[in-house]
Amino acid sequence: MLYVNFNSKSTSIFDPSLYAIPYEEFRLVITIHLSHSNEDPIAFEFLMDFSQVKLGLNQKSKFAEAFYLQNGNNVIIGTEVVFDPANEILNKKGVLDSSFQSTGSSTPGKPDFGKNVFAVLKHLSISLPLKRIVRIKIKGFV
Amino acid sequence: MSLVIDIKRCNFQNISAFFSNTTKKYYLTHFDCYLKSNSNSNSSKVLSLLNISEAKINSQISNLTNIETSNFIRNDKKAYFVNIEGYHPISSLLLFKIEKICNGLEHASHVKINFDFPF
Repeated sequence: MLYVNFNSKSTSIFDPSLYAIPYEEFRLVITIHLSHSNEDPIAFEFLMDFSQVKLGLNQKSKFAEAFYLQNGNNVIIGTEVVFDPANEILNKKGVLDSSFQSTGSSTPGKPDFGKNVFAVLKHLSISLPLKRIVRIKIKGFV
Repeated sequence: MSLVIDIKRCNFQNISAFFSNTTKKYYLTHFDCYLKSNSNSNSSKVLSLLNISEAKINSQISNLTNIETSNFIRNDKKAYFVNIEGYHPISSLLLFKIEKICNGLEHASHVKINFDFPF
């Protein structure tokens, strides 16, 4: 198993204390290179959509686990969706145009992904061994 | 889960809208940008959501799956360089990038340990 703990306490100034993602939907690409190997890296690409995780005004956080299965490889990403109005991003510029979705209610303090709601990465685990699809050409077949 | 996407012109302006029937969302892009991205091999591509699968997200949990790493033995002979990148769903805009190095963990029941005492 490959296990990346994003919560690990490090004294290095280059390691952030937490990884907060201010995007509710993104294309996640995980590329894994193995040391002592000249094989091509193994890559996973999938869509992460946190829009289905709804937080209420009185709710401070919610755990959410993302599961993805590809070629027998099992990827699990543990996150905590956190409502943090104290660290609100001012002049938030969304990457997605949600003008079609807005249905009128625009309470100023409402939980809003990317503004005061963030997905905090907790851990990433991937089953080992990593499997890849290898296409073998057999002579005599076209 | 397959995503169905239509490209539309909106308000007679040069804007394309990608509509996902699954997420019920529109993604807007300038129609000119869409055409340029697909004609110029050097520029970033506007990608369709049709060819990408979606991770299943379970938020109906009270706590995350607790993995007891003490039950695992770290394999120090090999290292894995894990590169995690987040992109805009349809454009190639890089939103974030995380690089980590980690070792594989093998469950203790799969590893035979030989204690080699120096005396």
